[in-house]
Amino acid sequence: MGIGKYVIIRLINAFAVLLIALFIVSLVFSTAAEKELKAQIYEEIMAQLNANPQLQKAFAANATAREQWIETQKKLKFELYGLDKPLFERILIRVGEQLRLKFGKSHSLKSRSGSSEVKDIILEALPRTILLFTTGQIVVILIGLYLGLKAAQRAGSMLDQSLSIFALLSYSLPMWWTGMLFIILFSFYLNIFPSGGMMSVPPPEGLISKILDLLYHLTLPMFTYVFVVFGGWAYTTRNVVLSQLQEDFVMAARAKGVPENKVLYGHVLRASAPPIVTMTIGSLLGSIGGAMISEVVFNWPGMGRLYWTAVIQNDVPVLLGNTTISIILFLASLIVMDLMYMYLDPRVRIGAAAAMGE
Amino acid sequence: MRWSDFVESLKDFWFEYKRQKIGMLGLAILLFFIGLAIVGPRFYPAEMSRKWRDVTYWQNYPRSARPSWINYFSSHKMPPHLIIAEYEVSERMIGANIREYVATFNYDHEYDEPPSDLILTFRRQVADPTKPPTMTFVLLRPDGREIELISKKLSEAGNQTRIVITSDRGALSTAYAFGREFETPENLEKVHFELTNPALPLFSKAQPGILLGNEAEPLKGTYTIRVTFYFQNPEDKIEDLTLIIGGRVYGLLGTDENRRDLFAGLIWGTRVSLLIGILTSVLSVFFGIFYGVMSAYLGGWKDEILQRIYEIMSSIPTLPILILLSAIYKPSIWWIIFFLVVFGWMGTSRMARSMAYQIKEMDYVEAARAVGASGFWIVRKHVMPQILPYAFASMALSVPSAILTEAGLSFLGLGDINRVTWGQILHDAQSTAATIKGMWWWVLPPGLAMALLGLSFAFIGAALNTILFPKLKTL
Amino acid sequence: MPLLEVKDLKAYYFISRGAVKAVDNVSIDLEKGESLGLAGESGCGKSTLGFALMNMLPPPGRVVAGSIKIDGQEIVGMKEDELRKRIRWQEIAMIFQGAMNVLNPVYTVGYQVAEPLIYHKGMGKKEAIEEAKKYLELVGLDPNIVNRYPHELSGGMKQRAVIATALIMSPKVLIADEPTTALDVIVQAQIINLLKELKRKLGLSIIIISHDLSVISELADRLAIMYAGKIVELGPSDSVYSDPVHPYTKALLNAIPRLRKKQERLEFIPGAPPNLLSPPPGCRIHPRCPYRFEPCDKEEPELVEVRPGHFVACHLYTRR
Repeated sequence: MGIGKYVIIRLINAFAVLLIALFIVSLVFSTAAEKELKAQIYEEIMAQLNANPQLQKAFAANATAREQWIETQKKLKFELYGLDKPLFERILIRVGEQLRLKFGKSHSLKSRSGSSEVKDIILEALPRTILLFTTGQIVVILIGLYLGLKAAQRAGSMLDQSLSIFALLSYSLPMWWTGMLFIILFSFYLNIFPSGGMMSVPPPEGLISKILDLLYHLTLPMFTYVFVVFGGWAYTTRNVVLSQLQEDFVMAARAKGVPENKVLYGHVLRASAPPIVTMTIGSLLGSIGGAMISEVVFNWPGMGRLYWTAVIQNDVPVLLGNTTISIILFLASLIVMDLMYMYLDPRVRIGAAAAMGE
Repeated sequence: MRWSDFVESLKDFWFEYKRQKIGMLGLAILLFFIGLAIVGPRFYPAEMSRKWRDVTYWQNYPRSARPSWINYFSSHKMPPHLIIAEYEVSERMIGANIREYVATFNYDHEYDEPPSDLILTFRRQVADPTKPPTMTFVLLRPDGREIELISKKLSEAGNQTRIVITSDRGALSTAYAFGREFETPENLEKVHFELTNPALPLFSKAQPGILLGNEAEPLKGTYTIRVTFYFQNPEDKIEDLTLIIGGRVYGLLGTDENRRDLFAGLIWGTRVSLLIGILTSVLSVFFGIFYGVMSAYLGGWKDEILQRIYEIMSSIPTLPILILLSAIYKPSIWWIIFFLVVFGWMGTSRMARSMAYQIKEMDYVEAARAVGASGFWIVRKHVMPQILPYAFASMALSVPSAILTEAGLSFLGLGDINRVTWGQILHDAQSTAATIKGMWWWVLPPGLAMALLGLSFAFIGAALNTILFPKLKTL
Repeated sequence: MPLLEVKDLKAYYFISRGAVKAVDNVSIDLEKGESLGLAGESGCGKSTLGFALMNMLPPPGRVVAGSIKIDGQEIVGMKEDELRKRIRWQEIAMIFQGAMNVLNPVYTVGYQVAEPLIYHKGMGKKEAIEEAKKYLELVGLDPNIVNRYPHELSGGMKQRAVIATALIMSPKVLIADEPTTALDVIVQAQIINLLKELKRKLGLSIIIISHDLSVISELADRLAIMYAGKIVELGPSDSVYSDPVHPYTKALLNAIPRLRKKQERLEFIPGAPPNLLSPPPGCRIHPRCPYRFEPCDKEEPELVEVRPGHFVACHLYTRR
């Protein structure tokens, strides 16, 4: 009961942040991109005029009538796009549209089904990003936890020292650049992985070979992600576990006769989980950015690649929609992290429930 | 604090710092980059940075050349880039009013690959544009064979002429025809006329395989290039005649597909990265401290409001918003720094606030307040001196992320377009698919520089942390 | 035959600068149903002795020499696996110091109390927790707290839970390491009363380690005073408490306020305990001892019986 309330409050909080972020986004759009829209409208009207010989003839003698006609057309179009309303109202309307995922149409891009609705384009890219990012993250968590535990267990050993050095080195590696290097190495020189894309062209027949093909294309980008991120995770895990290993309850558990691997994977790991989650939230959210840029390098048609294309094509609706979805994605992962933390740490879980229950 | 005390404590600090191996390593790397940023521009003028996107500025550089030093590590020698302005001249009259002007260049080819380009540049003074001079370009090979690659009338407008022999269609078919004579029919089937590099048959042994990149054997020896002009007017002349033998290796880091000297880019990019990294971290740390201390010092509902703002700011995702801002406003480097600061002060402010709160509760601060010390005085005398050391550590630690974020934006094509940055070099590499072509010398250095510079600050930050928080010592 | 027999035990910590001789040639024994107090300043080696008895010194600590027999069974040199499966918690259990961190914050109290049953008796989790309820009740806790987490319990409740954990396998010997440290005075008194009651009810054989002599005097039948890794005085509680023989014990007792006895003033012991890396030669207290004389810095004093069952290691009594 209390937990449910806590979750709801957390959601409301995230929603407030979302509104503010969307407000900023819409403000940016309204001040800058509308200029472009207005110019576009003007061009549209002129094109309409030029395409209509009857109108041209009617206006040939009468310049003021022509002006008037243009003005009314402008007004109509402005109303259509909501440009006649005051700035603040326009921003609010836009925030509402963003919330309902009404991003409009793209100038230059189309989804695979042929729709130029920005929403369709993004919803096509989103699962691909999630596929790459989550599989990579799962591998990172598994490797990071395992190595971190091992290193903490043998603090000061070769493994521990090399892990610490590797973590420090990979701390400042740009993920996308590492990806470029890996393409040169594994794709150009060794020729064991494809240099990019998500599927072979043409795609193979049959579901199983399609999945295998996808995995084959997924390997190198995922490996890059894991390579750059796991060191930091392992190092954080190592530090947290090392400090937990010195806690009295570990000694107590050993004394009570709990077998060593149960001490490690039960008591220590369970108790380390909440601080590990907190300490890695930042790094995880930081690596989302790097991962998105890496999509460009690997030609992986997800959200990051979409940014690249939209920037090159100067496709503002796509940029805007992509930003909104990224923000939602980001906030959602924050909430997931928060809830995970709550689930893992009874002090928060029960503390929060008790605080709400009053 | 008096000046002498300050010097004294600085000395103490340096004594501590010197013992941190990692910190010294970081400092050494950082000094190397600062040296590069200061000394480099003496040899690579600012023009190179400003005209980074100007194709004509770089047109006489080799295209996609590797770094020169690879010749030391390989038995397969690559030709360097040569700009030859020395030649022998002989002149004579043919008939009554045609003057023949012959310039003879010599080129020693001792390499295992043909040159990448043959470019001829000169300025011509033509008295009567209706009577333009004609020109021929003849290559004399060490094996005695002679090939006339170009024969044309110089009738274009303007007096600056630049002829890229290796991309001239006439020269290309001549070279192909030359190679064909020696080629076996089977080999000829493998050859695509369009894809042939004209320099390959010209600089290879006249035997089967001459048209095949992996089978052709280099013909080493002295080549003579004879450029002949036929002037119809006595006043006509040629000036600044230069033959460029396009290298396959160039400079310290080679060149990219747009013929730009990558080392020049690296040097000028160093300046930008240092500027962005240091300025962003200094500004955001100072703002963060100001915000945090204010929040702690004001307390009550003001603190509450400031904390809410802090929370919102720290849960707004930075990168998507930065991408949007950069894509729409096309900001200069100063605006990028401003944006990075706006989204980068939160970490420090949290630390500063909690420290300021702790200090505020200390007995001696209470005592100072009791005897009438003003809030500002307390902040200046008690709070700031304790927070500042930590500020330096967090400055150092926040530099890498600032550098990486800017590089990410530049990589997406959203950086300051009036400067060359490491991220932009990589952007260009990505747009021209340098990775798939294996152009490691284009991709490796900028990222490595980024990682090393980031690492140097991480090292320095780690060392500062070890000195400031000895208990956290981990490495 | 005593239930617990410790002979010439040496437990050292090996660090880069040498061996810290935390327990050096200690011999004690404990009869069935008896309680022995072990007192001394912090750093005198009493906690090390406690852990050595469990044969679970944290590295770099190690038992170097000597013997520990529980019910006639030698445990020094026993394999770790066997110790874990057969000795610890079954034969000898421990009430740990610092109730704050002994309980893992992410597991329920019930599970942690019941854990030994799961691993030693192979009980299912549910069954074990049912059993744990009985012990929680025994130590005066509401059995329904099995589902609570440690942070929901007060310090005194946690300490009771820790005691219940120690009792759950009905060990032959119980070691209580600073059982009341870090608790409020009133809670301290409650825990002492609980231990007293348990001792009476269950006939516990117990070693109480504390720096607080008043705690020990309440619980212990016999009392051993440790200084710098050695036992300097050992005897029936009343005898040692009311009429201490060793100068160090005297000073120690003078350092605590008393209600029932006339006392001139509280004393403190000048100087600090020696560095156990290189303890002083001869009697280890001699640099701090006001009565030191000729042999003190050369010869180590042996324990001698000064009264029936009351031993002391001091040249004042061996040489006179």
